[in-house]
Amino acid sequence: MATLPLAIRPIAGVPSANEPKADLAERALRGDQAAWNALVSRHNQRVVVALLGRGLSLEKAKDIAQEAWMRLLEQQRAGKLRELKLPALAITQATFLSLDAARKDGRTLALAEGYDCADPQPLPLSRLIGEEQLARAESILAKCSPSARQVFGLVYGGGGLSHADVAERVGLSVQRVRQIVCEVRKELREAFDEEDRHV
Amino acid sequence: MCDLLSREHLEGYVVGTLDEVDAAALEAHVMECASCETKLQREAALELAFTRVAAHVEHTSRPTRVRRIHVALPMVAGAALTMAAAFLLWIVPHADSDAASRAPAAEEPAPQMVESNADASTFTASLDLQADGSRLGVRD
Repeated sequence: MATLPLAIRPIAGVPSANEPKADLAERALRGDQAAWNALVSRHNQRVVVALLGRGLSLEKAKDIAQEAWMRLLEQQRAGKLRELKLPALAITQATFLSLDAARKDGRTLALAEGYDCADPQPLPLSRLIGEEQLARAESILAKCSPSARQVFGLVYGGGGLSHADVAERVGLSVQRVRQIVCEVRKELREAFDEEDRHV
Repeated sequence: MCDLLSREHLEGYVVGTLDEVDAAALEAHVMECASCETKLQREAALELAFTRVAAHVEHTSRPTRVRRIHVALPMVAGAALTMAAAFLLWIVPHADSDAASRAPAAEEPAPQMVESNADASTFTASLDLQADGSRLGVRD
């Protein structure tokens, strides 16, 4: 597996990681190496977690995430990248790579709505989330406070916002946003675990 | 079953709240512990499920906006018809008075004037606009 050049390895605490996202994306699209560093640093974890959630091992997930960033960088250098919506684009790239790797390994993947299981031992939650679970989650969210629902929507929506971004947008502290995420997560997890026990 | 990593640790990793040192330590352990790797995968799968939930909630909240448009359309149509009716009510008597002033009373047959007034009153009586603007009916 190819590794990222040292210059674009994810480095925690890169100063430019706090720059506005749009500015970073624009700079990265122009080929700015520091901007790429910051974007990888900011979003790599989400790409790895997305792959883990699809049943890949941590080692494999990290390798594929690196490969995905490499592909994006190559596309940018070839002038094929017109916009950079992260982390969605990197996750999509990584998902394709994981499917490709699984095909080469002769594994069968059940890909539905992004929920495939590359692992021979399927995890209960890695199966497609059903309508009943969705309805249950929806009713749980309906009981949450409006600010909790807003935070949940922003954190897990397609915008790829960090907790700091969400905190700024809703006017809460980062600590409070994290607390809300943990509380809502706990509620939903209990509901899902309950259903898993009945499956 | 290994209990070295707590659920809070695993959750912190997937949510992104673990600091760099703790995250690295967790990864080092997970690389060598199949049991904890499975637990981490489960937490990550839950994270993916939440993404789906958020998309679903956003999707189901959209029709509310569409419904508002559906409610607004009859209101706009009702308002337009009311204005049209008001215009007709205003113009018919004026047209009558214009005609009356232009033509000598002897040359203009009276029954026609009565017929015009009858049409106008019939039209105004046929409008049935409900107070909430949600429905507009026209009766014969």
